[in-house]
Amino acid sequence: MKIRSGFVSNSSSSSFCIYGTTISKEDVEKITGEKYDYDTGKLEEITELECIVLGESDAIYIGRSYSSIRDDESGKQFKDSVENALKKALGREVKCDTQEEAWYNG
Amino acid sequence: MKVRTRFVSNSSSSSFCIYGAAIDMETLKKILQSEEKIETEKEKLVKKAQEAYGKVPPEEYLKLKADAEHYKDFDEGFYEQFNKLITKFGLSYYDQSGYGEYFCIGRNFTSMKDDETKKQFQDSVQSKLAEMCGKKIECEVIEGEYAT
Repeated sequence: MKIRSGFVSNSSSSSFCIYGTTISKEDVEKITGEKYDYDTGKLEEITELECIVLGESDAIYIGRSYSSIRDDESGKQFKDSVENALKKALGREVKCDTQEEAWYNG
Repeated sequence: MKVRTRFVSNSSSSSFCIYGAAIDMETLKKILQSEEKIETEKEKLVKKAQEAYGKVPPEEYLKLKADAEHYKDFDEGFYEQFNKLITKFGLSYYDQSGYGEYFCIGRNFTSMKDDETKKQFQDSVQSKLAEMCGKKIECEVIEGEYAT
């Protein structure tokens, strides 16, 4: 079970923590073959990775959340799966790392 | 897909994703109080003062007695002792409430080793928490954020 308990001070907040990288809208267009309009549904479908778009930024976070690791999957297999999926989608080696962000909703 | 809708630029926060449990301050205090090391330090000072009674000038005895009596009020020493305990068990913690109400204790997923499976990772957390708390603790994946 996953607990989503996100409160910082008195404001509601959100966050994510994934292993992956950030890609540009040009990368998204290359992968999907469509003009990027901040909807990453098709990108997620093709890459089978999770995508997060931060408000006004053109950078798209893409990868897998740590909570998605399967019971029999090792740390290396998890990281390899992300790197291989990105390499397959982008046609180049992609350096991945832990990507995390947190923000207040208001 | 997640879309961040607003960002408060003068605020700073970070996120975490651990496997572990949320444990409240009162429970942690009980665990810490049962740690021999904490008692020993205070007892040592009390003993030192008792042994000095009648052997040293009164003002020196009173100072030793005061040192023993005022040795780290538990709350003041809480974080220091808590950090020692957490380090001893190789765990991490996040004070998510920001007020020390409860702590998310476990292992960050980023600490998962290359040759370690998720099951092994989870088993290690469960076993460490059980040893630390003296009983089985239900563990879960906890995602959240904390003020920095």
